[in-house]
Amino acid sequence: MRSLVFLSGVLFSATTIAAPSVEQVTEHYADLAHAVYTDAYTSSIQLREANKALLASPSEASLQAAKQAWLNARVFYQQSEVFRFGNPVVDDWEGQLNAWPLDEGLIDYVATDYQFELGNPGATANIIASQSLLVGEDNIDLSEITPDLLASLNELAGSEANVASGYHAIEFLLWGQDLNGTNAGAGERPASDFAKGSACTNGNCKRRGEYLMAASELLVDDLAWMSAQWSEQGDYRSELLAESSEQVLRRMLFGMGSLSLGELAGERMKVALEAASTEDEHDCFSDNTHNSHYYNAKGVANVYFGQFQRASGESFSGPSLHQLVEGLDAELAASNLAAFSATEQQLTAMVTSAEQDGVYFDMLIAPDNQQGHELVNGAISALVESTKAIEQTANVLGVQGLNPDTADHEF
Amino acid sequence: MKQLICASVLMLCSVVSFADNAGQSQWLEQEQALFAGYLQEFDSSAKHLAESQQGYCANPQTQPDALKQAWLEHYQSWLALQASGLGPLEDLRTLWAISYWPDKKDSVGRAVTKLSAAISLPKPASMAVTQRNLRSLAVLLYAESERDCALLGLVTEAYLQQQGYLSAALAEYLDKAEPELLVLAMVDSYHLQATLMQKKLGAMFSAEHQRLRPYQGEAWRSDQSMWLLRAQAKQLATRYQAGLKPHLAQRDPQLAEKVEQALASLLAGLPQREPSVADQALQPWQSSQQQLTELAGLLSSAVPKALSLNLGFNNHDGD
Repeated sequence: MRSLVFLSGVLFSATTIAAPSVEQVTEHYADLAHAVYTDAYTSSIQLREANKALLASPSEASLQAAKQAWLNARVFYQQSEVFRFGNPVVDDWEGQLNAWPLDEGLIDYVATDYQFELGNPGATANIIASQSLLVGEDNIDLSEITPDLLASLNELAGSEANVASGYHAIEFLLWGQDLNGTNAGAGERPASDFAKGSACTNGNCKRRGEYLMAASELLVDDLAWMSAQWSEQGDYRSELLAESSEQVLRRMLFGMGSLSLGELAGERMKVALEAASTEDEHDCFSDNTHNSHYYNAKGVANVYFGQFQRASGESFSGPSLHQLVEGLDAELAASNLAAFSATEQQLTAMVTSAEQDGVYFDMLIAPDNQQGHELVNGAISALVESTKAIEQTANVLGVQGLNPDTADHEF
Repeated sequence: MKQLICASVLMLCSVVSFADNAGQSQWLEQEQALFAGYLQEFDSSAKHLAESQQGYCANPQTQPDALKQAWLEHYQSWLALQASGLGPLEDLRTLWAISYWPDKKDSVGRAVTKLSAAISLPKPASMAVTQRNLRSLAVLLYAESERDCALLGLVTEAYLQQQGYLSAALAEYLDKAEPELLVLAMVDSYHLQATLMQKKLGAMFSAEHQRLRPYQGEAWRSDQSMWLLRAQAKQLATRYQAGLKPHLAQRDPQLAEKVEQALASLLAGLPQREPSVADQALQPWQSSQQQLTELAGLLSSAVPKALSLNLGFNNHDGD
């Protein structure tokens, strides 16, 4: 086994290896992030337009079209999450877009027995039905629902469950609460919740529409900003590529491993499974969790293989970690390939379960669904194996210390 | 001879020269002895908990003070075994099975209330994990409206099944694991303990919003979340003294001292009061958070480096 040796911030190979260079791989990583965020951005514009059409003419058909636009948008955003851990510019920003679980009673009407975070003063605030909100000594003016207002209400009063904006807020507005627990069925919000005049159900339809548009606008703005950060002229791209190659590789690998293990296998799957808790289901209103998980895992593989399927259908590919590993340890490259392939198969099985068999993630985790547990555990085990592949990749690339925040830090 | 070790279950990788590490075996034996002691305490306090429950329920007109004390002592014995480095998924599973925390939306409270409203009680083995853990017992002990001896007996019995399983599995692991894997698990467990304490403090205190969140502590019903956190920090410091410090000092005495100092500062600075929304004195919380960050950094980065170990990913790499 050959290994790479870092010296004075420059990567040398112990023997001559075929292209690509590490610098090409790290640069392509930034290109890849730009491509993914750009598609997330364009899909958010389509979501905003679909929401606009829903409000212009509320019907079951226009609500369905808006839901479909949301589902399409998730395909790209979920693939972007691999850039979150390891890149502070993303991690510091993403809460406004994808924070969960949320106390949806902050936003709109909810069932009387809904489960919310203990001690959260905003848990039943119902912004849509309220003109103001008293938190402690602060009286917050809610009369005009704007993107800025929603951004300011995130984590209101220090509670992380106060999520006023982002994909899950929009998801809740389109689907409503899923009151089926671990039984079949997603949220069932009627299109008439956005109707005009006397056709309006559950009150405040105009403000609900204003909320939906404000959240949609904020999402578009946020994604435009992040896409720009990774562009050729982007601030973050410049900052990242000015770092040592080892540190950029570390960021890449840390993002992949953290999403695979701690976040996806652990927080998003194992926790929900062990607790049989639909409160811990990622896309809990729409029952799109299988796809969210699938595209998270795909995002990890994208970084490893340096590839991404664009919204246009074109394939975007370039110098990859896999090619680097191939040049150093063909056996490891082959086993890595097998590990990522097995993960994709296991995650695909959850998608098939939902979309062909009608057994969604929240049904898979039901306490008495032994077969469902096996399916989820299979996906978790596969992610554990592909995380091991990421660790071994770090070893062969000579990246010591996986956490970019602490690897070179003097405490 | 240098060798590469990657554990398939533990997800830890190491590049370490075992042959030239004479002190390592001795250290490992010491850590194993410490863990054996923790397990013994975990088992004996569980037995005492069961006896106290039976004692209280033989005379339920009295106050359950002795039972509450037995619960607290048993909870304390569990702290040493949290984040034991047995592997990310196993650690997660045991955390949920024994104490089910974090529990932001009080799933345990809701599950126990549902159980108490059930017409017929389930068999222990079929109970949900939210209904059969230490925090489920806290609901029954500290919410008077839920206190019922039929339920207390059932939940205690169901919990003890879980506890017994975990204790046996840990004992078997300590006995049979390859020394190379155990070395990594032990070093990782120090780091994971510190990270878990960071998580516990962070749940009760939002530095960003400068606000205390009392209901997010692991023992908010008994008002003992901070007490338990202090106990955990004290236990880790004691373990470090007897376990890792002498071994680390052979490699890097300055670092060994630094970790000890970090633990001492943490212990001295941890808030003495339980969190309350009315509490305006947030400085101890703020500084404890910084101290825990520093400690976790030392244990995750500097210590493995000094011991020529490379730790892999874990549950806390994520949100």
